[in-house]
Amino acid sequence: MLNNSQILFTITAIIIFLTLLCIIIVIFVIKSRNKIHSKELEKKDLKIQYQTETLQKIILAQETERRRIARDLHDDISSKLIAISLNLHLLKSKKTENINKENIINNTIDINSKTIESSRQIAHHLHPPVLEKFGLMDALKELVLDFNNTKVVNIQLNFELVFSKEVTNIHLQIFRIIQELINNSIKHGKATAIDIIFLSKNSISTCVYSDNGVGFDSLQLDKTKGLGFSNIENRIQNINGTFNLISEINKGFKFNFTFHE
Amino acid sequence: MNKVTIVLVEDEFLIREGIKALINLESYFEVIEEFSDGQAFVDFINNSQKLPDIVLMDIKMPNLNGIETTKLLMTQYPELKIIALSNYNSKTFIANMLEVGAVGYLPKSTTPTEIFTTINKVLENGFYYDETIISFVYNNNKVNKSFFDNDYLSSREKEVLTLICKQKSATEIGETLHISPRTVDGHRNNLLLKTESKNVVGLVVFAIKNNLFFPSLEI
Repeated sequence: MLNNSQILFTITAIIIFLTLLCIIIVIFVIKSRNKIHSKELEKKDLKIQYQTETLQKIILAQETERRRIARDLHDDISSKLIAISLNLHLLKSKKTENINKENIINNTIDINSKTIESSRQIAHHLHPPVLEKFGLMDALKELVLDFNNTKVVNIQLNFELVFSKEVTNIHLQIFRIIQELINNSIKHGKATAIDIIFLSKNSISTCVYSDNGVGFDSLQLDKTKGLGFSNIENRIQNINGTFNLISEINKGFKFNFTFHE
Repeated sequence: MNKVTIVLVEDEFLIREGIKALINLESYFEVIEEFSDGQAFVDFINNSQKLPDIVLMDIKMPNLNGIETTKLLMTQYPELKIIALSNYNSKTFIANMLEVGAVGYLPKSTTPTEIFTTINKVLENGFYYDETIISFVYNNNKVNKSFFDNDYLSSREKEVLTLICKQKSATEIGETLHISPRTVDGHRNNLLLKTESKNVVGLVVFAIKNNLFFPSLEI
């Protein structure tokens, strides 16, 4: 038979045990909640950091572009206009002999037409008018032709799919990506040949891009990633595409990206 | 009369050709050499027997820009008369050239009259700047407290200095102060020595920085 004090002791022990258990459970719950919370915070911090970095890159890219436009305007437009102005003053001067005037006029006409061509090129580079009027395919063909005409590079462009004539944001982004890729191939890769193919497989559209340039170690991409490449990356993200890059030193550069037309 | 020898230092071919053609309108001017960057011009000067009378030099150039080139040449050839060619009519650029020793400036989109006036004034007075540029240098530097002992220059020297800053020739200064042009030259040489200036532009910059001359207030 158990006596009263024994029963009292057992009950007390059970109560203490249950209380302790409760406390442990509560502490555990609070701790795990905190853990989840801090992980979420960490995630958010990472996201914010990424967004800040992207924003900085966008601002930097914008400044680089502005500098490029300023340089183009200075080198290709204002210096030619100054030359035209100097020539006109020369023509106006009574001391200029008539025999020379013919030469000066021809020279001025020549500089003037070069200025017109330069301003066309600058405007074209800023926003290609063909894109809006004739669609992505014609715009890309013209872009490639412009590059091929410089004789610096030979670009092959092939379409195994058809883009709609109506221009969408995706078309504009694809145009910019190709423009940037070609610029990178020539400037950094010193490529002399570039291959661009657009194809469609199982309703996924892909662009396959490759060049014969000096290439780089693609494992080191994060370290060497320049503004141009972040730009490309952002644009692919913007059109919900994915990309794949292979490059080795002295083995050229290969780049695929997908998009949904 | 000997021709005025001129050297053009400008990286853009079209502009160089245009300015050369305008200079050649005046029969007593002669463009003897052309360079497209500062370094090539420095090499030329280091190897030449006789300095050109006038140099027209672009501010923005590859390799060695106009400001660097002028600074470099002024240490060895303070008597060289460099006129800055400026693409942008930016006062900062021009004032910078003035402070390193350029004796004048011309916008690239210049006119024949402007070229002739500037070159002739430089030949006559040693420098030529319009008042807006001089007052810009003044405004840029007026925060500096004068470190200069006012008694160091005689009152006559201060008078001559002010008139030099007003771009008066030795003859004009002589007439104003009732002294001979040769005395004026003597004062000018003393000023150069006392202020440790390399050329007349150095004197002007000195006068502005030490509040001995207040431009634009008198215009």
